[in-house]
Amino acid sequence: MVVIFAILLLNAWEVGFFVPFLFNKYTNVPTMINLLQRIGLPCLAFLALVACNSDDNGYTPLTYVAVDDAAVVAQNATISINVFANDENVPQTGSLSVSAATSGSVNILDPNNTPDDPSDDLIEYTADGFTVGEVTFTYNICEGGTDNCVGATLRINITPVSPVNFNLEQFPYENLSDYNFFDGAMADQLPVYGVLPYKPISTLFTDYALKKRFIWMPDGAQANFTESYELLDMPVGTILIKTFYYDNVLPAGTTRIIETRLIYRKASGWEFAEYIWNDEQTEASLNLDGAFTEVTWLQEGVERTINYRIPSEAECFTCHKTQLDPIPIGLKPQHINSDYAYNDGVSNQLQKMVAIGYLADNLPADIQTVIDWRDISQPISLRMRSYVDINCAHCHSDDRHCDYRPVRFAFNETADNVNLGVCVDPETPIPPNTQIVVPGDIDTSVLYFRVNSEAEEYRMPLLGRTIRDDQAVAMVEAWINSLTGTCD
Amino acid sequence: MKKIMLSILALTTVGALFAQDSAGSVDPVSFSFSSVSTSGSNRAVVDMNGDFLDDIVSISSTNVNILEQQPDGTFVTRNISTSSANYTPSWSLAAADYNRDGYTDLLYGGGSGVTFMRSDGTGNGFVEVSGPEFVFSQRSNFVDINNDGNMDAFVCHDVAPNVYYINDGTGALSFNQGGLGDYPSGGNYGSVWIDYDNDGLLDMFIAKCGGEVARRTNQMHRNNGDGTFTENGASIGLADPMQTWSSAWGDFDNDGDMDVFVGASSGAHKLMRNNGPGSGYTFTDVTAVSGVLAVTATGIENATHDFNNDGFLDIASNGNILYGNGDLTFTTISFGAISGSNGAFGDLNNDGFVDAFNSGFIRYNDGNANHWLTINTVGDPSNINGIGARIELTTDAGTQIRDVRNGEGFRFLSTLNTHFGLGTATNINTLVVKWPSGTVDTFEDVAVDQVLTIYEGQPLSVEEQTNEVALTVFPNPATELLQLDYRTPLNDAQYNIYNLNGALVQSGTVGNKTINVAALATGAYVLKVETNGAVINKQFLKK
Repeated sequence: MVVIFAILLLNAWEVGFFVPFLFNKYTNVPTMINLLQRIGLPCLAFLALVACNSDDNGYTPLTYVAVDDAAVVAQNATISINVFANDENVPQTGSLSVSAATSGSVNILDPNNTPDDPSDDLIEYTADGFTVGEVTFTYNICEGGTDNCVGATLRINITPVSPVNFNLEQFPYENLSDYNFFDGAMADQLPVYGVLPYKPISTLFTDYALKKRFIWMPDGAQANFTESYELLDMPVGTILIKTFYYDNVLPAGTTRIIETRLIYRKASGWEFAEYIWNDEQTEASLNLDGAFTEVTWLQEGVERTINYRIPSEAECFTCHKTQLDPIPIGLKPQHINSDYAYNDGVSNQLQKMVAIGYLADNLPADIQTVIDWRDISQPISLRMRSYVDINCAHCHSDDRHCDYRPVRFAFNETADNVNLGVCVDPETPIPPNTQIVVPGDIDTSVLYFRVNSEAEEYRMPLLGRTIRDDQAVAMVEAWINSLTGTCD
Repeated sequence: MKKIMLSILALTTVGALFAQDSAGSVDPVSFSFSSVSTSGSNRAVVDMNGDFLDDIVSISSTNVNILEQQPDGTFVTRNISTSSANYTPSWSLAAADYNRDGYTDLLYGGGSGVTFMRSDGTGNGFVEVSGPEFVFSQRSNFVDINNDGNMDAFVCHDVAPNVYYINDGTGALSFNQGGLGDYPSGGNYGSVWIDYDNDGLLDMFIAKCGGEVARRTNQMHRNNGDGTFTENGASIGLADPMQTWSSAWGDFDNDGDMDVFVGASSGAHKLMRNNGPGSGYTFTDVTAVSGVLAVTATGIENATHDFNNDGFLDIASNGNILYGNGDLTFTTISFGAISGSNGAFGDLNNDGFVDAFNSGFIRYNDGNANHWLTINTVGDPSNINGIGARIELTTDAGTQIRDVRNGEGFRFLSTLNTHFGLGTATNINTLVVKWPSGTVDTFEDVAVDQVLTIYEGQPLSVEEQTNEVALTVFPNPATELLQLDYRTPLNDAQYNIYNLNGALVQSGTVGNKTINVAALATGAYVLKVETNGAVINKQFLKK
């Protein structure tokens, strides 16, 4: 018993070590359960130390043990905290008191109207509008008056209020600037507080366009982990922001931002918005009709020109859907379980989301994670699987646009080469190709033909590119050549 | 004898021809490959210049490449440069004369939108009309949707409700979306316009694919006659969630209504029998007993033609030809007879047998002794190409029906003419054309083995109307070889030559449309050629 307990506690301590502080920008009463989950783990770690030490000394479990708590709240916002959730043997008689709090006001709530029972009470803290940072105060339960008081410390991290202009009912706004996602000149794409940059480990090729991606959530809302390969379960109000741009655009060699795509979650589901940037690069305007714009730029020193496609809503939906519901693609744990260089330092992206309160701290220890397919130090099979996952699986999965073809490209399905089309007959023959993938023979492999093709009716992916990704084609070739054996 | 001939032809044919002839009742035709030089994407076999000879059309973004068929069967290459098309026909091409100037216009179904190349009235140029609307085009068709006599256009949308373009009569098209297949995420691949319920109005069947059941359930849009359509696939038995990109319609059992082969793009093909007026034109699945399941290869291209001119419609499915027995069964199958994606169909040597074209190769139908009739329809006040006209042809063997169509299969555009195989029939007892306008033209005792051009509401020429088959011989007078010009090759036809006293002086079989008359004395003779029950007399001089 003691051994098992110690192991559990050790694990808890490790997690707690990685996450010494759990933040939440702000939590309203309805999300209190989430908050409790979040603050529970490090406090358990604290308990672990006490318990291990106390065990040898004849620790008496019936003694009330109060454990410190932590919470996150935005300026001018109020949070309710069940400080007893991580305490042990909370007495059902006595009185709860709190010390004076700075930078805001503190109240004790008795939601069940049980004045003699403190165990169901909550502590409510409202931060003022002047302070950012940590405030601490203590809470105590006393047997009568001030006798035999036992308590702990409550740390509250007061964060800035995200200045994003959030009025979901008014979405989509006419102009990108209306959201106030960015500080200073919008073209600099410097996010305001709460607009968190992210980057999938492997990315979709879209005619060499560069991308900046951000995620934002409303105060008090957070996502939950479900599976490594499933989208994070993101709350209503979540906004994903993705800006497409080119560097070294000719003639002047400047940066040109073309478009910023949004997908945001309403109570009824995800919706798209699309903003096309003006020539002055000062504003982007809502336009879901789709458009073309010519771009000439230097790609690794070589001049290239394409007729860049800005997608219409229906094109967004073609890839971002399951049945009739729009969905994001890249916000799966397997895609963002990697380090990112934030302004305040390098951090794992999932842990960063936990730290700022965007993600519930219930991540498993083992997250099946893709690799960057461009990383030539990685095994070729893993590169191939990671490439097709982010470039192909959004159509070649159940209930998606091309679910009827006999391939399955999601990362969690491609350990089996059959799902990659190896020795699988195509249902639409394209002579002289014989199978979707023929080991060692790119000249008869439909998959190679399609990733190598620029013809609109043959190329894969179908949408998002008009030219081939030479690096990807070379990788696919290497992968096919790495396969051995012959098809029946 | 015919078997031997076919074997020889098969030996001379490039490519694979594996005929299963288990029933022995249907003889397949062979195809001879011939390479031609094109530029751009090969997309159509259609008459572009108004001479009613099918041309070969290939498209690139700034050029329309036309191989113009000449009366002698050769081709003359013409390139008509265009503005740089906003969208190219990567997904499909349709063609018809929607501005009624005598030259064929083109529709490019692209992945992001639709471009029309409208002929400029000279036959030498096109004016590009490209809409700003996003359309992930799939099958496209020219068709008079509202039956006002002006050719409209329809385009299947892969990822949104279908779109169509209504012609105001001046050749100006207005964009419409809604009312003809409105599933929010599309799933529309192969539209085909046919009159399934014999009410004289074109209905539209859509072969659907991909995603959830509701998205991929095939649809029938019944024409209400007032410009609106009602989707009724479920009530007539065609609401099938199989995965398909195109279907092949035809009266496979010659009972007077349109049946359908729905070609699977994944899974198994379906053959559906139209139960006719007694049942309210519902459909019954007759796949299991039809023989079509012998073809397990799937794909996206399916079309209906009578390839062997036996009077029973055949199916071309992804390069395989299923020869119809005339009773909704198919026991003779030529696997790999033509290109795996079928290509475009038409008559590229004007011999009355349907040829195919794709990937730079003409697959010439080598033909046989069966008779045929090819019809060009010119409408007024109906749409000029007569698309939607119902044609009923009766011989002693029975009645066949066709709908004049535009845009069968998935990607290609096939000839606008309407072709009938007639088997051994040598007379067409009645030929009825029911035009979309309501005009009905009826002709009696029409000659076989000819190309008829029928103008709405007008009689045929005397030559077309009378059942006299034209045989010309040359040179005349002849010295050594007498050349015969006739609508069929006349291979193995028996001939007799008589002098003017009625004495038989020479006889034999026609070889390569040629008879050696070197042995005859100078003078006048009568040539009698017997071909498929008909005897043709022709006088000639020997020098």
